[in-house]
Amino acid sequence: MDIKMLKFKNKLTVELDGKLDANSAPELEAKIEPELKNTDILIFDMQKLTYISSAGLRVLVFALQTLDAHGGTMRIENASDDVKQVFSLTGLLKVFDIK
Amino acid sequence: MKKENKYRFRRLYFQISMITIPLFLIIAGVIAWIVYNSTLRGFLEAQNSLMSHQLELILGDTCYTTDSFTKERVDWYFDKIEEYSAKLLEEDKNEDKQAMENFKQTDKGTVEEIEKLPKDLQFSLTREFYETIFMTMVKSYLDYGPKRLFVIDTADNYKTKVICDFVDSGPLQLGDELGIDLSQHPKLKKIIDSEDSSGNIVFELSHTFPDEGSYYIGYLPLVYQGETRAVIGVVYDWNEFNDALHLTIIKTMIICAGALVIFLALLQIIIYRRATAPVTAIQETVREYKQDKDSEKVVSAMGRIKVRNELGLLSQDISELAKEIDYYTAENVRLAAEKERVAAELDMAKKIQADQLPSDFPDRKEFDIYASMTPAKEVGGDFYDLFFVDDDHLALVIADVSGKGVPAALFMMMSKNIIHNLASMGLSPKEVIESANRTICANNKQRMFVTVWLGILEISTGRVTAVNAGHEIPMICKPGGEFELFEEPHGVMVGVFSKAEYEQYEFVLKKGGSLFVYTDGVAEATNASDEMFRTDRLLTALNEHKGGTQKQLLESVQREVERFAGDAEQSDDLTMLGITIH
Repeated sequence: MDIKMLKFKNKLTVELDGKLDANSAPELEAKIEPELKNTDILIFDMQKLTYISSAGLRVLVFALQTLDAHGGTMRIENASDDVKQVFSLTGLLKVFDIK
Repeated sequence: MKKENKYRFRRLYFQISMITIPLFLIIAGVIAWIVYNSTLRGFLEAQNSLMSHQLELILGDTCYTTDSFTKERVDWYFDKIEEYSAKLLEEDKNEDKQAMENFKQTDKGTVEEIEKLPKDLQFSLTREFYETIFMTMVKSYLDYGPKRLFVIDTADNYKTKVICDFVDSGPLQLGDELGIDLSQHPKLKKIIDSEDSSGNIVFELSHTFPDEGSYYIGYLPLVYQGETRAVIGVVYDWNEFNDALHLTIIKTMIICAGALVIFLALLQIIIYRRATAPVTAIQETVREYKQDKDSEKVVSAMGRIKVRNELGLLSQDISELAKEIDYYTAENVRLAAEKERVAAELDMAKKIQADQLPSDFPDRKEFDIYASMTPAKEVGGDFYDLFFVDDDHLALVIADVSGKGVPAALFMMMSKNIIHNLASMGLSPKEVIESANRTICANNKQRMFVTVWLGILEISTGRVTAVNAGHEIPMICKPGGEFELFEEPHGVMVGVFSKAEYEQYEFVLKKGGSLFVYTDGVAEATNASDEMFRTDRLLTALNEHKGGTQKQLLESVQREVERFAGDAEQSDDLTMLGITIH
């Protein structure tokens, strides 16, 4: 899992490359957690994300809820069909802002 | 082992000696050569200076030059000595001392004025000069003890005629021929022929003069007007000199050799004590330690090595290393015990978890049901459940907690019990899931979640009322048909949004129809080339193996998944539940 983070003022873009599973999810959580407080717009670029597991979903949900708490927004971009399928199965398609 | 030790130890010492001993032999050789040469030179210089001194003393006492005694006069005296040679040897001494004294008072040292004197007086003066030479020679001969001491005339007319000669046996008389073979004495010949007119003392080694043997001769030429007038010669026995020289050299050599041997021995002892012995001690200790792991023995053995060099430091390091190995060994034992305890606990937890999953499936003629859960680790986060709500209603649950291991297992236990309790109360699936979601969200600081598929089967009609909270899509096989994905409304997983609402749906399983629910561990099982099993392969497997009992079907699917995954390690729990209505 390769995680690239780009912060511009209060907008944070996170580029995910590889598999977001139980092994890589803690890393992602540790990386984004300190940034979430002063982020209003969080964008996950999932163009290169091949797989997301429940542990990965947990981090996304956690990020969404943290942003919700202070009125921020979270958006998911370029998710593959496989990843979208997971969102669909878990009912998150309606919860996340997916483009 | 022991023999090899000794061999190695000897090799080290032998290797060092192979370098030091030849080096010492070379040094000894060089020292011997230097000592021999310097001693020889020193001896020769000493001998030369002794002989020079002797010759110069004779010269100074006889042919000294003053205002009234000139070289011209010496030349004249030598002529006269030759002239009166026969008369000089006579005992008669008829001298007019007064006349001699008178002459000396006014003497200017010229030949002219002495020639004016009467012959008698000339003779007397010549005699006096000759006697001075004679007496000086006698004194020198007795004082120095040379082998031979002589003065010869070298003027053209009297070449090699003896003036005076002192030797132990058969000294020559004034006027005698010296009888020396000049061809054997090139240096003397050079002086006599006035080729060398510097007046410097010349030394030569002779084997023929005064007789057969080895002699060292010094010649002091008296030079007048570029011509050698006379030569004073002194002869020493070369053998005596050589013996003394050799004795001295041998003594010096023995002292040097002795010193070198002692030094070499000391060096070898130092090498042995400072290097070889400590290395051997360290090696033996380390080998023993490998056998018995007794660090105290190492510490005491290393403490005995007290050399102040790298080996001393090495011994200290080895001591500390042994102590550290002790510490880490103890630590390892502790950790192993700890690991064992944790493993035992996990094993117990695994059994408790397994006990939570029903393994006695109801044996009813209306349906055939089977379920299995294979955790990826000791304990897992997947679970299934099946229980009668009442005689006609069978609750079916399959769920997957986010994450794995102990945290997922704890969350799974809680979720399972909440859902079980709520469903047992006879609530609808929607009510059960919404209520469970609220309860779980209330105490979920770690933001875990669980995906749940809950269905309640009305046994008499085959009607299933269900809710899907973010879980995998069920697969349904209609009687006589194939297994297919059953698209239904999907809610969000449980534990995330406390206000989430869930849509309940219904379908009917007619007699002969089957339902198959599973967790993502099945569809997402991965093989070595990172491919997933996926739902299409799952459907194929189900359709291939359907027809038997649910137990057979589920076991077949499990085998298919395992065959697909091969040796690749599975990261997710694998859970399935299947039911067929009869």
